[in-house]
Amino acid sequence: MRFKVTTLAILVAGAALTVSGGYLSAADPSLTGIIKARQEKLKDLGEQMKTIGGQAKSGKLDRKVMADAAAKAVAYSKEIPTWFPNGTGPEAGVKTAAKPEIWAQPDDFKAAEEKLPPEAEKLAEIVANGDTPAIFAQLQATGKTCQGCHKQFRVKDKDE
Amino acid sequence: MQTSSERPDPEPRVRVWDLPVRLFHWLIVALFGFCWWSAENDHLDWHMLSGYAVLTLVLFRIYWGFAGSATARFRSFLRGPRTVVGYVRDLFVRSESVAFGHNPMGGWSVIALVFLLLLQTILGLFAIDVDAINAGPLDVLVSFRTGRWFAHQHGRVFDLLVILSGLHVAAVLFYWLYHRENLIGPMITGRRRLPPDSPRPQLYFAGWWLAIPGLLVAGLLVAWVVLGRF
Repeated sequence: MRFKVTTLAILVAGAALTVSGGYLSAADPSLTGIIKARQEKLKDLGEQMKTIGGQAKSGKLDRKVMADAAAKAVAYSKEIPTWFPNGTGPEAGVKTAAKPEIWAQPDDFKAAEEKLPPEAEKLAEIVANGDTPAIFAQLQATGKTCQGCHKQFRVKDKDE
Repeated sequence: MQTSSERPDPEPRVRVWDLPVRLFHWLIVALFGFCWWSAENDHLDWHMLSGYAVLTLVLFRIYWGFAGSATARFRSFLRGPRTVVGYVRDLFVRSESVAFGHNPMGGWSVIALVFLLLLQTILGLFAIDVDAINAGPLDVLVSFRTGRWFAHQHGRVFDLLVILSGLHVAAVLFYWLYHRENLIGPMITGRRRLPPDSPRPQLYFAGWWLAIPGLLVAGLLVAWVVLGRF
């Protein structure tokens, strides 16, 4: 009986070690969590841009809807510098389009990040009382800063 | 192709492709290339315009598949699996071909290409780029995330189109080199050479003016989708 218990204990311990070893060697959950959250927030930033674009396209211009979207975009634009801590690049082991250059060229990345907030703030001003062409123009200007950073620091999508 | 065209031609030529089919074919070749080039080089406004042109032509081609000449009609070139298998089995038998219009395998490749072009342009209508700067005219109907999904599928269907049109070109080259049969010439001139004693086919040809209502309706439909949403 005693022999059986010892054998069982060894088996369980062995299995536990195997499982935990596999787990530890896999991606760090806190880092992958940051990557996932970052991806969701960037997509949500895209949604805000598209919401304003949709208003401009429809020509109806619901100021409240556009103001909410622009306010969110401004908030996100200021948060972005906190979304790329060390270790959340491709080495984290989950799928990310973030290029290693983000961390290799921190000054360039910082410069690219800092272009967005002023444009987003301008967008927030313009959606408050600007006309459709002005909104389109500022959407383009804001989107260009997204594009500028993406070109340098984001792996191209298949459709781009 | 090379030498026989310089000799006086003893072989009769018969008409196989009508003008709308030939124009459709070569316009699609040109536009497909232009769509690819303009997307690669960030001319998204040109890309969308050429996409609308492709969609218009594809809708017209579907109309022409019912209302066009005999060799343009889907019913005339869609064959059952047994015919296709039999055709593929005899693919390497060098015999003087007296086929008119699409062969049993080519017919299905036409359907696949037309379907993929239709799918591709529809996907593009809903697509949005990652920077939310450029979007198809129907993007307002979907969310940014869904628009991105459409954009990704747009990229995948492009790959399928490249593969399928590559197969199409390979098949044409195979006919040229292995069977000594030039398929490109007839797609330009509309006429093919016949072996002297072979029977002449009785093919129905639709007048080109019958293409006008189809093209008009296709163009209006695309314009409505594109402009009606602004």
